[in-house]
Amino acid sequence: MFMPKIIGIDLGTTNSAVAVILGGQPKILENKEGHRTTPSIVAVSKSGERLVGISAKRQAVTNPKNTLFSIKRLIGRRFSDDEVKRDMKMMPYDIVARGEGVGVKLGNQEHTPEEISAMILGKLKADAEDRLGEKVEGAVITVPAYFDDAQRQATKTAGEIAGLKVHRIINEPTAAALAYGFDKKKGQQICVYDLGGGTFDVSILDVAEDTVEVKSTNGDTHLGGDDFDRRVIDWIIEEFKKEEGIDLSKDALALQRIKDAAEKAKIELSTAQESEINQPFITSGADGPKHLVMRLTRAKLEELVHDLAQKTLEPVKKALLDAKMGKESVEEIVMVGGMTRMPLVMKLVEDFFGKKANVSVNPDEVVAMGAAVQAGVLQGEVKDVLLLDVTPLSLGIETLGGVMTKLIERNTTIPTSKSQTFSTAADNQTSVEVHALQGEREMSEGNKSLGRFILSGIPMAPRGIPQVEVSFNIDANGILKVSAKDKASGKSQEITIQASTGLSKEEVEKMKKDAEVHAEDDKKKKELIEARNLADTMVYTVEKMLAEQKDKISDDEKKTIGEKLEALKKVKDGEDKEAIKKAADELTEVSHSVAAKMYKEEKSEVGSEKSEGDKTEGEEKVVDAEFKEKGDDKK
Amino acid sequence: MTEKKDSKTSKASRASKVVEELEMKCEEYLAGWKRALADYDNLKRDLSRERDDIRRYAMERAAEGFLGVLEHFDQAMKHEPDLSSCDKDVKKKIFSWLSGIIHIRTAMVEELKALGLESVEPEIGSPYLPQIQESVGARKEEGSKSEHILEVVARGWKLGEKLLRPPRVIISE
Repeated sequence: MFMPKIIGIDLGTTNSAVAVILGGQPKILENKEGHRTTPSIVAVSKSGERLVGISAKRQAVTNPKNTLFSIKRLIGRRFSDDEVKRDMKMMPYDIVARGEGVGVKLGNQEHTPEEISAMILGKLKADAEDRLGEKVEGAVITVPAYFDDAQRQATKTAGEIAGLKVHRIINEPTAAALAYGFDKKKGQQICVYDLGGGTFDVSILDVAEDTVEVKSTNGDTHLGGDDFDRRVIDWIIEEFKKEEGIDLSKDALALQRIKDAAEKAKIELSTAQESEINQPFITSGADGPKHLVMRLTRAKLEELVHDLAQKTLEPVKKALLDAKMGKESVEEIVMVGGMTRMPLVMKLVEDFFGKKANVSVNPDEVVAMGAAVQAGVLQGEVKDVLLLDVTPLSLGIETLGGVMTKLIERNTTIPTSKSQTFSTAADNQTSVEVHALQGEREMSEGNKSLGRFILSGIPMAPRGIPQVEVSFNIDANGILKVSAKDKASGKSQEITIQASTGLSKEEVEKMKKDAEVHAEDDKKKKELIEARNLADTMVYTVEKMLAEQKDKISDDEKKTIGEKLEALKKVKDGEDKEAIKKAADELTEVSHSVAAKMYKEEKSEVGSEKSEGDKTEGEEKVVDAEFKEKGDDKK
Repeated sequence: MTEKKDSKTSKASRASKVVEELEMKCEEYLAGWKRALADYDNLKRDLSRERDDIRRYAMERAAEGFLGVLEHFDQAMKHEPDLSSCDKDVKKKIFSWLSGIIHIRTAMVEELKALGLESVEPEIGSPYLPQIQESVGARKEEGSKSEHILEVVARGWKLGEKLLRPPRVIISE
């Protein structure tokens, strides 16, 4: 059955965003202009054309009377509200009484705030349809937690005017918590700290069985990122005035450049300690062009805005008081709004609560994402997602020296299968033991043994030559099949382990913890085993070379190599990793220099004795050796 | 006889019920399997789209920085100093040095064009279009129609179809 998509909308005071569930995950939908957020601005040009979003913003400077922004401050309000009176003084557009309610003038017409919000929602809907390539009929819209019934109803009406069936109006902090999946952890107290472009809201949420309750909310409707920007802009203007004696605040173009530069510096200082504000030819004085070049440090920025950031803590305290709880009871802090990226803001909040805040979801998008999660639940998409299990612990086999070699890493979604080819550790080894293990420890002894079997009938060959392919295959029910197959003989063997994921939650946690606790020891042990294995291979290879090439190695060389070989043999089974490495390196060095000399001699012999008849054996060896050498070089 | 018939009928109906159930399960599993395959296919497409987006985003970010620098160059060109009182030789030297600087700017523009950036410069006197232009000021000018471009303060740039920077203009009131 076809069901039109339900989108999640964060209808913000400054910017709005749209998200939708795609493939079980919330995703932000870019608007027609290719941006992830849309300015909540509506305008009508002098020619009567209606503009929404970025195009309305682009003409705001020259058309302030007919450019409506922050309309969210007016929605659902009565004309007599203090908030409305305050806005009437601040807004460049006309706010009028409409019965008991509010109206705004746009061009020659008067509109309700609902109608203006509907224009914004209409654009969001159209752009979402454009992106999705299908019709959108429903939406979940977010509103601040402090919105009263009239404001919520007005927002719903706005959605309906825009042609959207509003399935639900949800609180912005609730949406933020949903985006982090906190609704699944019952009995949690969450603080949502939302510092947007023009408003600050803080909410305390209580997550209970199937419900997210807003226990308290507080904030400052006229505190946001714009105030922080203003401080930086004022500082720049002041500094320039001190230095050059010119007031840039009167120059519209220069002011625009300063605004851009201030915002850029503010963003840079979220990651850097210092930022250069560089706007050459900002203006002209009597003695020629003037350049605005100054450095803004993070410390200076923090000094400029510290009181603003500090101001946000008062509403946080009040919200906690209203919720009748101490800050220690808050288990999670969710950061919302672009301003929360500022390290100072983050630090103040984290210091206040004494714990880390959640910032992994983009703070500009987290509310829309949460609205989409709610939309997904309503549509059945989120619930409907097939629950896939994961392997709680890694799976692998025991290899030389008791090391656990992982084939399937933990948290891999099942069903899955993985294969790896292994070889023998000794010459003429005709069987291998496959020991399947589960766990996170580096050494097999610390992990859980799942089962073992022997694959026999491997043709006799030097060590490292046979190829045994080991496969792990877990089906959707968590049943693990381990098989091993000798590629040469085709012989294979396998076992089935029923309870590969049948560990209790406690057991899994214990094993993970064990691995963490022993991580350092295990690492050391593994490195020692690896050094021993390498030493073993070195001894084997050098002894083979000495036996095969005995005629080509001088007695002196034999003596040197022999000494180093003995030295390595003496330490290789010991506990001193460094000593093993040192001895192996020394042996490598002498054997390499002998090998290099041999190749050199061979080459000159081949070159000078090309016509000699009795050289078949030698030539074959040379060709063989050269081939090997080239192959190694390529690696 | 009737009893036997009854038991046969009930066996048959049980069997057909089982078959029906199994058929339903088959259908459900097939649907699930198809869905998993579709999800995987969609994921592949999403990943490739995401890769393209990341590439485009990285390009936009890099371009944005350079465009700012280029704007400064353009700004500098508008502040050409008055050299009328200068000695002829000094004037020549300054011009030669300046033309070198202009060549550097040209080289930078060429590099940006090679990356796919295109400059957007609206015509003076053409109507102002807020969809693709940003107005930074307005003034009265005799003989010009309202909301028409009087001056381009900074040219705009686009990458493919995306407008990275709208041209900044001053329009007539």
